Amino acid sequence: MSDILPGDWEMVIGLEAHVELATKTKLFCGCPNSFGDEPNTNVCPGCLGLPGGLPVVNEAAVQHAMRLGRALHCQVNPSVFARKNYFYPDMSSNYQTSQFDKPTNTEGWLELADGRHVGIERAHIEEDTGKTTHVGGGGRIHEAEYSLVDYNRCGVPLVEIVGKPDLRSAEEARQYVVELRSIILAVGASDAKMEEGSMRVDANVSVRKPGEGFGVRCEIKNLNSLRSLVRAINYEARRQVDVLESGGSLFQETRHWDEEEGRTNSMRSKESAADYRYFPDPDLLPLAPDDDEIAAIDEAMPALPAERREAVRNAGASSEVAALMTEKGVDTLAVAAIDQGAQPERVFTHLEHNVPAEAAEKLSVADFVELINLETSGQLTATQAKAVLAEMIASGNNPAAIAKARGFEAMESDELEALVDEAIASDEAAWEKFKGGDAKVAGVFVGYLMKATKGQADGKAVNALLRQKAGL
Amino acid sequence: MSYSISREDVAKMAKLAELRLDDQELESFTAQLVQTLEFAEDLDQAIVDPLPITILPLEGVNVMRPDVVVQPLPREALMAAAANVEENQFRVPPALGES
Amino acid sequence: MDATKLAASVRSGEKSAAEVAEEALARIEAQDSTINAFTALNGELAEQAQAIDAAVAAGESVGPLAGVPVAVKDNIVTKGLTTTAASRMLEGWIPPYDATVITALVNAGALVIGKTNLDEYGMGSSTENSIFGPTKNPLDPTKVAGGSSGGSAAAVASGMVPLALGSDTGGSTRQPAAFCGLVGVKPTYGRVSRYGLVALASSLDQIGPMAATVADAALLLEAISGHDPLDTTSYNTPVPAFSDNLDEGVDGLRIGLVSELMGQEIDSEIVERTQAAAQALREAGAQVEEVSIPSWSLGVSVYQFLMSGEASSNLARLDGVRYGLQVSGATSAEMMAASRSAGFGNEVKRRLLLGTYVLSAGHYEDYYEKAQRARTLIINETVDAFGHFDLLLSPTTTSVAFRLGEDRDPKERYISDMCSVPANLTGAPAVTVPFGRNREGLPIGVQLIGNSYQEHTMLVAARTLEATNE
Repeated sequence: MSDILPGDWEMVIGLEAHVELATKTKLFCGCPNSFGDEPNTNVCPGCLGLPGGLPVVNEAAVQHAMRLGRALHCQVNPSVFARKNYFYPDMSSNYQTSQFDKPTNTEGWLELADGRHVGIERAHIEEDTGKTTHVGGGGRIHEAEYSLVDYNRCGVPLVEIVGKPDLRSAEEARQYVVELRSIILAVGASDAKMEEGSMRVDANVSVRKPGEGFGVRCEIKNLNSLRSLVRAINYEARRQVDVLESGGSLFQETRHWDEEEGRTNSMRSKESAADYRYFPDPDLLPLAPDDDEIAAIDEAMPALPAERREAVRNAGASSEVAALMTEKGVDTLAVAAIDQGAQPERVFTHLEHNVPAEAAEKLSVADFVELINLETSGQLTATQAKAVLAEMIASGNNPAAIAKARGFEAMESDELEALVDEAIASDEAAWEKFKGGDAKVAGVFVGYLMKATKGQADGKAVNALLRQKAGL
Repeated sequence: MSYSISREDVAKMAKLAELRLDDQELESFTAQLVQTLEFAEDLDQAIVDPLPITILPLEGVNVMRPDVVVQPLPREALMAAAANVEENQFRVPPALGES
Repeated sequence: MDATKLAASVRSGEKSAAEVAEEALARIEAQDSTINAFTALNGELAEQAQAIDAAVAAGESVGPLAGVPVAVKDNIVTKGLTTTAASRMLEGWIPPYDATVITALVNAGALVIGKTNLDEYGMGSSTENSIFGPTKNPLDPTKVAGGSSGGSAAAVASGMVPLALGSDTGGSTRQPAAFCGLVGVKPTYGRVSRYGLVALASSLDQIGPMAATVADAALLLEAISGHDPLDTTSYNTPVPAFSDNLDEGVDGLRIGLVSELMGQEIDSEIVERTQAAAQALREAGAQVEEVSIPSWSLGVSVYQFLMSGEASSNLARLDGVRYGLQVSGATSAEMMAASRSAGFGNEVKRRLLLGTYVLSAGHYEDYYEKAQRARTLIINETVDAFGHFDLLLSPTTTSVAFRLGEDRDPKERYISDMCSVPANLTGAPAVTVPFGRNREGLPIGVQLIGNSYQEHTMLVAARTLEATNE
């Protein structure tokens, strides 16, 4: 059931992500892999599709692909490059060298922030295409006067990650992309920026009633942000339900998301199913990763988001808090502090509300632990602790020094009690009311204390003393 | 099963190969291809399962190059042979359909 | 005119490269209007020759091919010099880079004198499918020079130049060499870089030398061989000194005469000459016996499917967008279709249609993939044969040079590559050496096929055969 769809209709989503790898050069030639340069300045006979050009695969691209595959728990296989044949001006040889029936990575999964697993069918290596700009007619393809082609991007290495259709809502899809992106960043494979095109996501959407098999799916393209992703999926699922409920039928097609109009449109591209005539590329030799190589990749694998979340959960956080800590990047600090005895609740609260993400790096674990302990032992009030923390971040000084300098030192209990007695004596009428059970009137005495100590008194301790003296 | 090709198939292949054929050519090429495929009957009859495919008559795996920039040739040299250039890009009639 | 001797005389200063160049150009001027071997001549030849002479004078080393004019098939990319592949699509195209073999030639001191005629993109066996018109056989101008490297063969056979480069996908260096009475070599697949060769079939193509003598062919082969990091399919193995010890003889070598290539498909005079070659090798001390390699009979059909499938993909880049003929259209797709239809000849279109078909959905497994499995069979049986033999012997072609414009029987045309394709399918090196004439006086070539990377053994046997005719 979904809030977006009427009745008991269910949406089924599988996402395909194309990720541009962070290599210095292209997949099959030594041209620079660089975004934003003057058009056609990063091209050579190979990537420009000149007669006689030949490909030689970039070893860094292969490394990235394997590492990304292992981070997604995939099996890394011997692989063969295959040509996908079709004509389009942005493909300089009119075939795209990709992987077909023998891809580098297969059968993996990733864990969403809420703990659910989503299957990954495959993650294979392929080359990117050039960029076509349509001129005239408002930039819309069908009214264009002509097109211009820049091949700087042609040949840039990509990993295409095909997720299984395990997602059931646009929100889950969003989580999937966020998680995928943080994994990609963690292994350094790409900067994966949707807005810049270094990560492109297409959504395969279908609908069904519970218990039915998969319905006809449509592929949605042109999703340039997470917001578009969510809007487009919801729109498309609803569109499909509307078609089916009004007795119409759907056919498998690619649709273009129009962000302005908030709808998907059928793409009037070439007719019916394209025949790509995949065959193994006879200009390239197979890749055969060996076990030692894969073991080395596994060994050197940095802590991935799912692991990090688990560590925070093990330190006493709920799933939500663990996800939050990890996404913010303060999880390592949290876990280390709690490991050294700091009270978890205070750790999580401060890290969530009082420590900006960038500041976490500057905080030493020892100092942070000391601060938490000062608070939990009563030497600092919550307000004071917050102030000290802010100054720790700004100045880098340790909490004890800061507390002393600001006069936040803990009051002796005698001192406090003496002040409480003074407060009581200052308003006997209020004291009678308090002793009689009027809790609100305690504010008089707390106010007196705060004035007398210039706000340094620990409110909780004062209230405890008042009750004690009143015999409540 | 016998190797052959229909006129329809030839027309489809022409589309896939971005070739325009008039009726006469379609007729003529179909006849020639039917004949060629008849001659290939020996392969049609041959039993080659379960032999694996050969992609290249060459042993070897993992032939790769280091991720080091090779200075591209100057743009003017690479674009000199283009029929139509505008703003340092290759100009073509509207490219319908997205890849 | 002996390339080996010529290079020696330029290196010693006895002859100047400038003189050599001038003389070659004069011969081309005198003969090529009839023969039509060349599609373009190098306008900077004089300067390049002068540079070699200056280097010789300065005592610098100038290389094993110093000052030797070499003609290059016009499907090998040459910077600053047109590379057309004999196609309207690439008419007038001046590449911005050199093929690796060109750099190798220049480093060896050779003079790239010009580009030679071919069948369009290498698709043909007669050098008649060309925008430049046909090339004539210098030994009989009513006959074809062969193809697809007919221009290179004619350039050498006429004496215009001592050396030429051809390319061989299914026999395209060897067949014209045989038709014109020359030595022609298809190296082991991976021996010579394909970077800069306008690809026909990537898993079959190899550039190779054509010359009047085995020694000259060996010299040129050595100069162009070697690992190229720009070509993934280039094999990383040292290049032996092919020209050394060519006269070491064939004593003790085991040579197999392939029975599948000695049947009634082959012209009887050619069969006879091949038997004579077998005998000559026996007399020189080799053990020659018949060997049967049954799967070699499938060779032509396997070749047709693999070659056309790969070619259909390799030629897709020729679309008028970045270079070449551009014919206008309302959309880019229409423009590409119009350009390709105007730019390609009929033989090219036929093979593109066939190639697209064998790769197409619903046909791939029965056609292209089946051919790939059959190729494994052919390779396996050939490897077995090389378990018992050092070399294989056969005719090079099914016929001698045929008449220009001849309307050959389609079946005969289909099987005409049967002797040459096994070497391309298996990757084995092969050489054709002239061994007599037929009754019309047309040359007959016999073929020796070596084990992978054993070109030297093959060349030694070729030299032995050559020597028996001296």
